[in-house]
Amino acid sequence: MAPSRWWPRSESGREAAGLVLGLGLGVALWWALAARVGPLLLPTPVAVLDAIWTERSRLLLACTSTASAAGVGLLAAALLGVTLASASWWSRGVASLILPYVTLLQVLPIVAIAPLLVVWLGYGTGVATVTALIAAFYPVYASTGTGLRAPGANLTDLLRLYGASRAHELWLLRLPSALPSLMAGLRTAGGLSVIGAIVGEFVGSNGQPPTLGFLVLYGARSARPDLAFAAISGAAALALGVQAGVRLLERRTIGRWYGR
Amino acid sequence: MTPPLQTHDLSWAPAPGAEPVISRLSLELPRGSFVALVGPSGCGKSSLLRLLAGLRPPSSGTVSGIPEQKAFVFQDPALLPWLTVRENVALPGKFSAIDPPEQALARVGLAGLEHRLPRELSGGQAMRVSLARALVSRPELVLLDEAFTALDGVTRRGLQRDFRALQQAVGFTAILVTHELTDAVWLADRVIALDGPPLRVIGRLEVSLGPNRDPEAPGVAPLVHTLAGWFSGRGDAGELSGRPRSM
Repeated sequence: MAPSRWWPRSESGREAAGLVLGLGLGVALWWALAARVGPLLLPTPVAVLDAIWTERSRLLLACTSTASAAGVGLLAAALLGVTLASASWWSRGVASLILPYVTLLQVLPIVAIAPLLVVWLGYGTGVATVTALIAAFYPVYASTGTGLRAPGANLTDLLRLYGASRAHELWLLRLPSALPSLMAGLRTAGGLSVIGAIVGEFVGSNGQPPTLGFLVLYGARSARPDLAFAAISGAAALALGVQAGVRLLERRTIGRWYGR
Repeated sequence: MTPPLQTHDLSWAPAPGAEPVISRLSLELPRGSFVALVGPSGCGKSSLLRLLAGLRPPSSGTVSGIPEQKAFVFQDPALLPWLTVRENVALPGKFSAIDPPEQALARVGLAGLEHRLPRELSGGQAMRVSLARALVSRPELVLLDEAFTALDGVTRRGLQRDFRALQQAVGFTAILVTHELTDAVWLADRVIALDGPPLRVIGRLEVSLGPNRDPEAPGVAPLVHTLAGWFSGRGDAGELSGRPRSM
């Protein structure tokens, strides 16, 4: 098929054009559907933009609160995931010991545990932070575990020849080798931490301070779907922001090593 | 007089009960010389090199006379991508005393590239960094596992020539595992032809080509022919002197 005159020739141009086209189609479909079902069920894109503008101060506070819960949860998940994956590499006994708990964290429905967390922690950002941690933990743990096993026999043989201990091997070889895999895991975990925080806020937030999860529920229950959609837009922006942050971190660190 | 490097009735299998890759192999390798272990791919020569390095425990038999200060050079440069050239060369310094990395880099012709990352090097430069890292700890024994095989012809010859000159100047023992017959003959003082598995010696060759060695020298081709004959079963394997007739 001959290339079209209006379709960009460069790789980046085609990427940008594809993104704009995809978003445009999505918004058009949304608009058509909203016009058909009415504003109480589905607000138009303009109504959502209007809600974002009029509720901007409350949304900003909510975004800050949810971002802080998701960020702390993600950071804790990263620390815990890397530590437990390293411990599992270090000792098969430790790996077997923690396996049931790691599996539990992977399959645990956050919605089911969130009410218990409210009982234990009370209302506030604590519940959202813990649910963000639970949601983000497994991708970090699994990706770090895969990365720790990445170095080939030559590199491990080289260190053994020097008389390196297992601690040296972990610190000098395996953890740096695991970074590309860890970054991929963090990108997944970043999005999941925002979802986890919002699910936690559905149950554990009373609106003081406002949170995105609370505003979604409040908007849905008080015939303000425009506000719910505005909060959902904030959540999407947060998730994209976390992913962009991880990509930036990736470029600044391993990007130099591998030329990405 | 320091004892030679020896294996006595050495056997090794990758797992208990598995077919042995090496079975009751006894070898003697003189110190300070350049020895090539040559044989077809998969015959077990790389496993022997790892046993000599102490990287694998033998299933039975012994390895003796291996010095404490030893280095290993792999077919790929095995550089750590997150360390600069200087940091890669200085890596053995975390475990034992080393020469200044800049000095080791200068010896392999890489002065001025200390701050580059491995991805910024050509294949030949990366291999030179790997050699500098091997030499920085002043090893008495350098084990090379197909270390030059992955390089293009011109790069390979230059690097081999430099390495041979360093080995002659410093006097460390070099054991090169290779399947390239020409490389084995023109680089080494002694060639041990191996076949397997299980690994067995099919012939030994003493090579005396004089100080100015060259892969294109007239004495190389007949010795390569002799070696090739051993592997194809046409020649008489045994103890041979590799001094060319013209010398």
